Amino acid sequence: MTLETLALIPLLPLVAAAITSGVQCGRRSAGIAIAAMLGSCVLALMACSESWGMAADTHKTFDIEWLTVGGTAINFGFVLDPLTGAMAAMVTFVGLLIFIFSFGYMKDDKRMARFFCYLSLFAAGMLGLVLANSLLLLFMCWEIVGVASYLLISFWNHKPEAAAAGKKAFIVTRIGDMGFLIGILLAFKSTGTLMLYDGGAGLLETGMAGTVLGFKTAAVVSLLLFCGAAGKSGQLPLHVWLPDAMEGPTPVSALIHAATMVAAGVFLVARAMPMFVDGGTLPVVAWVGALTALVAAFIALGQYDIKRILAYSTVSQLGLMMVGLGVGGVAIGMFHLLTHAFFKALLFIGAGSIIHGCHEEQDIRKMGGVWKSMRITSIAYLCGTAALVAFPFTSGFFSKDEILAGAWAAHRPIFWIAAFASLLTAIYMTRQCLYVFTGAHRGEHEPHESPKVMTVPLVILAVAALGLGAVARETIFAKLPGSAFPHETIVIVVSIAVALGGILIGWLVYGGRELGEAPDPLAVAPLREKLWFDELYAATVGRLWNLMAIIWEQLNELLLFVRDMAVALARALSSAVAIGGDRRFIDTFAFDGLCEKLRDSSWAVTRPQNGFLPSYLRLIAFGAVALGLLLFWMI
Amino acid sequence: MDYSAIFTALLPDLFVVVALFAALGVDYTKLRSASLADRACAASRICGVGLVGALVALAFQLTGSLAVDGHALEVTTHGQLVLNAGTLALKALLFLLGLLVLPLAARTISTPQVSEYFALLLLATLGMGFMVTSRNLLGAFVALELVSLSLYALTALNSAQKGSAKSAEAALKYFTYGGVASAFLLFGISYLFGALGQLDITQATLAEAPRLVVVAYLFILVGLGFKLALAPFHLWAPDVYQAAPTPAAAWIASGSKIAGVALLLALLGPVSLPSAHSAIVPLLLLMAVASMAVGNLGALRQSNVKRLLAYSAIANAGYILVAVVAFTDDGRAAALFYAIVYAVATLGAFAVVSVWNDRLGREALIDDFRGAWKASPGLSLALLVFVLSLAGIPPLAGFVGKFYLFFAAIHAAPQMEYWSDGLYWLVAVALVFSVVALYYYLKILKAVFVREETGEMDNTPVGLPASVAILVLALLTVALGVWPEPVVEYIRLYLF
Repeated sequence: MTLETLALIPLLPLVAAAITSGVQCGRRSAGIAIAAMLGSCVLALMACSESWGMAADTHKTFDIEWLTVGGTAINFGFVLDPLTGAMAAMVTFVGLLIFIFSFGYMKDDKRMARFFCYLSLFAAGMLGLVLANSLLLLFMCWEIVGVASYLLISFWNHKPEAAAAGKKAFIVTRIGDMGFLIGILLAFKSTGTLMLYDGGAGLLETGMAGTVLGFKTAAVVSLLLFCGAAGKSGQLPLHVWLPDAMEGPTPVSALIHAATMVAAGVFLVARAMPMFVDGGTLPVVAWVGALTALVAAFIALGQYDIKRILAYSTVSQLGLMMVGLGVGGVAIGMFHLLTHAFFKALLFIGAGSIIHGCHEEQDIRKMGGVWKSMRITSIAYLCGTAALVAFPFTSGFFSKDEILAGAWAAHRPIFWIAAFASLLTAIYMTRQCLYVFTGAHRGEHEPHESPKVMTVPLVILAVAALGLGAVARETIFAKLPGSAFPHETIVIVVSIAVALGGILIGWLVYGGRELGEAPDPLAVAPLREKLWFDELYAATVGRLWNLMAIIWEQLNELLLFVRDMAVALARALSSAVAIGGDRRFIDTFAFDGLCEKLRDSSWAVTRPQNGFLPSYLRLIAFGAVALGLLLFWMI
Repeated sequence: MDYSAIFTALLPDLFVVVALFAALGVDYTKLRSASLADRACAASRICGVGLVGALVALAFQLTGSLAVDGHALEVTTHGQLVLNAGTLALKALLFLLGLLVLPLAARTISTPQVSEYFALLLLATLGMGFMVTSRNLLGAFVALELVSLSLYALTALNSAQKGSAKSAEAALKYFTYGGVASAFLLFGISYLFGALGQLDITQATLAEAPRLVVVAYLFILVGLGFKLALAPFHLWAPDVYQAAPTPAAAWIASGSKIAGVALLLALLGPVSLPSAHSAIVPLLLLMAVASMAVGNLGALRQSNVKRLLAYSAIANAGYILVAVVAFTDDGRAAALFYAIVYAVATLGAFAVVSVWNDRLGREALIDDFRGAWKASPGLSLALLVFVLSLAGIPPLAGFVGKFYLFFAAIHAAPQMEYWSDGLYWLVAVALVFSVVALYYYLKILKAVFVREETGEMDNTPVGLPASVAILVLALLTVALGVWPEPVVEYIRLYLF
């Protein structure tokens, strides 16, 4: 891998985005975007395989000098190590499948060309973020990802909910980004560099000395970075945007909310792990993650929208990843991130296929009987479900097992919380599958199977969801830094017990029941209402904002009044001091007068420009003589 | 004499000359009775092929596939030709810009003398190539004359739009003015030759400046002041820019400016601080301030866009001098970089104006751009890029260029010892005038984007070649602004 080939990975989608921005034809636009993504996928797989050959804890860096100003060089760069290699390969591979799926899903949309432009832009930002070797570049790509996700979520902007969801996602993540930015500035202030790895002088290699407000700088910076990560990865209390973001087209949900964008936060924590270790802030990460996992799993129980259930499940799983990072290290968290990316992307595009087949119906109460008419999709979806509930020997089982083992070794309460969240996961997924697949169809139109362009990616992802775990455990997991924990028997027993037990409970509750409009025993009001997080924010933060707006308005009125008074006073003074001189003063010396003078000077300087050649020539002579006189005076 | 070395060295120029004669020949024989547009199209294609061939040859020379023995060449030609990575790249850049002028010229052909028009464009381009590669006093002068004479004639070739009388008048003024200026320049060069004892200025250094040298530079500055449209030798510029065919005016403003700045820097090469500065620096300072004042203030009242751009050219020449006065390598690099940046942006602006003139059938006023945003968004966006770059708004090239100029000037301060101690005040003046300049640049943009459309507009399509040229220029303007380092570094490494 050279700098050029590595840089091509994010640049190809970026170029595709630039080209497709001017393309009207949807098919051509999709072709360009998919070709670019295929190119970066090949390159990323090459990079990934190369990174496996690297010695432990080494980082290949490729730097570009961007700007030199008076000796201070601002560098941009890329880094290659197992972490970025694995992440880039996953993002491009899953991304490619989702691009292909979108081609089928968005076929009838008039703005398909624009859709692929946004998708490419998003992929470019995401890959830049993954490969960046400088916090500055990482942050820039982070923001590109934010903008692109805003555009994608509110892609169907004729729907007011979609427009609102896009805005909500953008603003809520922006709250976290604020912390991130402050963290970057603080890091720069304390170390003077923003490079992550720089031959021993990078941010992650030197450690940060000194304190800020009495805390260790590393602790403060890492917590601020975690703010950004929590925003992007939907951690408590900033998780509220993620379920609403399901208003976007389903491929977007798969791309953004399963595999990539929400993983960016987890990736950031993994990337900056030395800083978290240095600052001793990992327990915070673990606890936030554990609570998020639990709360989101509870809420998922009470939802009826198929994509919302998956959304809350994503939030919950992201929490588990944070737990993995917090208790065990990079390897454990990233392992779950990778397996989750595959099975959640599978579930999302499976849900997309179901929604498509059920004529854009998203309410599971109006589905049912899908198993009979959509066989391929159903099997694939069940594979994804098995992985999500950590059914033994699926990919999710391996990665979740590592998290639980880490939590058992590190902190017992977190272990029990995570195990309970897993139990809830199994319950709500069983509930969802029973609603969707069994019984008679409760909608108006009979569902139909989706076209090949949509099912093929499903099948590929299903294979990955089932089989990737064992493979990845031996390859990627072994390469990533982090401590391995002994797998005590009780951990494995609990892990299997919660998965099977959850499925059993779900079966017992929903198995023989009449589904549909009948009341649901577990979907109690607090869960249906998402524990009133939105209402809470509206009542607190929203109210506070309104109040502040009113106060500012009043203050503004006051200031305006004061200004008016001051102006009146000044007027009075001015006319009192120089009666009648007022006009002359304001107009000749104040801004207007000055501008007028400047414009008038234009006449003066263009006066020699009278069009007569003799006078032009005279001026050459005059100029030469004037310069000569100046010279004479100087020497 | 090693003639084969000269042949390989001049291969690119050979392409241009052949193309030039081919264009003339074809036009005189086969296409005599063809329509104006067809003749223009054929001539521009032939010239384009020639320039592309020249660029390929230049690329080979640059990459070393067609090795030029620079040293032998310098010895045998007494510095008539100094071909190294720096000068070759500069020459290639000029040829490239020349290539971009061709489609514009073909689009708005304004004269029955079609092939002569293109031949003169190529001759001017050829002369600019020699101007930047020559380090010999006489060779440079001859190249300068080649450029000037071609441009005088080009100015006269605007017979469309009832402008032929004006065009002829402007050409005559340009010619007479240029003749006088050339006399000054030649006089100065002869004095400089007398002081140096040789024509080859790469070898020459002046440990201390005798008065003769100072007088020589006074005359040289008068001559080059004309070429660069520096006040007080700027009077020809507004008339010529307005009356010349727009592509020719664009070429006068852009290519000729780059070549002129390169020549000025080369001629000032032997002057080393602090020996000569005491006498020469004030001259440059005076010209810089005068140019900024005349250019920026003069532009405020203009309503004709081409005339406005002429005043802007005067002002920008003044900015360039700010860095020249620094007399450091950084300053030289900054001056040349800014000349390039300015040339690209102004060429683009002229290109848009030329399309507009064509649509209107007369010279465009600022008011004619009202509502352009709705009528042709692509052109309006391009104009936005060019004008904002000229105004020095980040992240466009003009901002970075000005930044380097002013940075170099301030950085050079410690080396100064005289009343010009510290160029802070000069930079301050330049900054103030940059603010003044915003007024007239934004006036154009206000017309384009804010004001309502009045009359209906003839929306002739721009045509592929011209749109490509405009797009390339716009992309260059953005790229040089976002990532200037490679270019600046290249200039620093190879030219100074």
